[in-house]
Amino acid sequence: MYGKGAGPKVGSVAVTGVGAVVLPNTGGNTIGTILAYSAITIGVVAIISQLAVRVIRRKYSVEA
Amino acid sequence: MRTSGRLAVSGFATLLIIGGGCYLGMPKLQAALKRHEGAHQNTAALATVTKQTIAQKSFTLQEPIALQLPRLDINLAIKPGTYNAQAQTWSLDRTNAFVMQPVTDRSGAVIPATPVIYGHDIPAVFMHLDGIAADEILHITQSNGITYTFRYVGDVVVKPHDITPLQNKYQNSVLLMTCTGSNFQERRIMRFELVGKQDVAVEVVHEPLT
Repeated sequence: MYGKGAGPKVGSVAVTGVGAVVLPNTGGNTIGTILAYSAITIGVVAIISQLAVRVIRRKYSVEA
Repeated sequence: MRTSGRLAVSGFATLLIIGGGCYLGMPKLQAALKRHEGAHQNTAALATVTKQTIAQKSFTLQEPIALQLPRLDINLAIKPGTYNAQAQTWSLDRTNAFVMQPVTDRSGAVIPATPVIYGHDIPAVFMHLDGIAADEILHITQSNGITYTFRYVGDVVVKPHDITPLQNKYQNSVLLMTCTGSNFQERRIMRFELVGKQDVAVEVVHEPLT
């Protein structure tokens, strides 16, 4: 849930150990969210790459 | 790359963008519609519910076993939520809500000062709380049969290590808590204020004498 070093920050020192109460980690579907953001990123990069390739080919008159 | 290949890549890329966008955007859109609906319905619904309850000036939450937010279609059993100080985790599962059991913080104070019920930000538990609107109605049933009715009055978003809302004593209130943020990195704490209580009538079925 919370890794070592997690805890309230006092300056640059993390307060950890017994007695430091943290709120429950009630996160939802983290994997689904990561996959969704990844899919959008891959899609956008693929389309931009295609457009870039097309522009470069036109500029330098390279046959497809 | 040939035209058909380019089209295939474009199509696949578009599908990825649409799929990802729907996964992330649809729940937010549904929540926005629910909030809009609640803004128009809640005040009238609260007036009706208030008539059905006995006004209470104060209350003590004892052994809550179920909660219900009728408009948001949330019906959950409540279990005791205990804190593991070594692992810094609270008891949690993906089907129930949990009521925080008292724990002593570093200053020696017992928290939570106000009853806190928490649950996962998933469709089966608290995700539909995204659609909450002013005067949202919450019913909490105790093991002794008493059901308290509350209304939503506001919320606060804090970091996981900020326990200030748990140290504050809010009169005649309960707090619902779940995660929020694009990566569930924050905690949303919603305050509900007491409206009244209603005793659950125990229906006695009499067998006909033969």
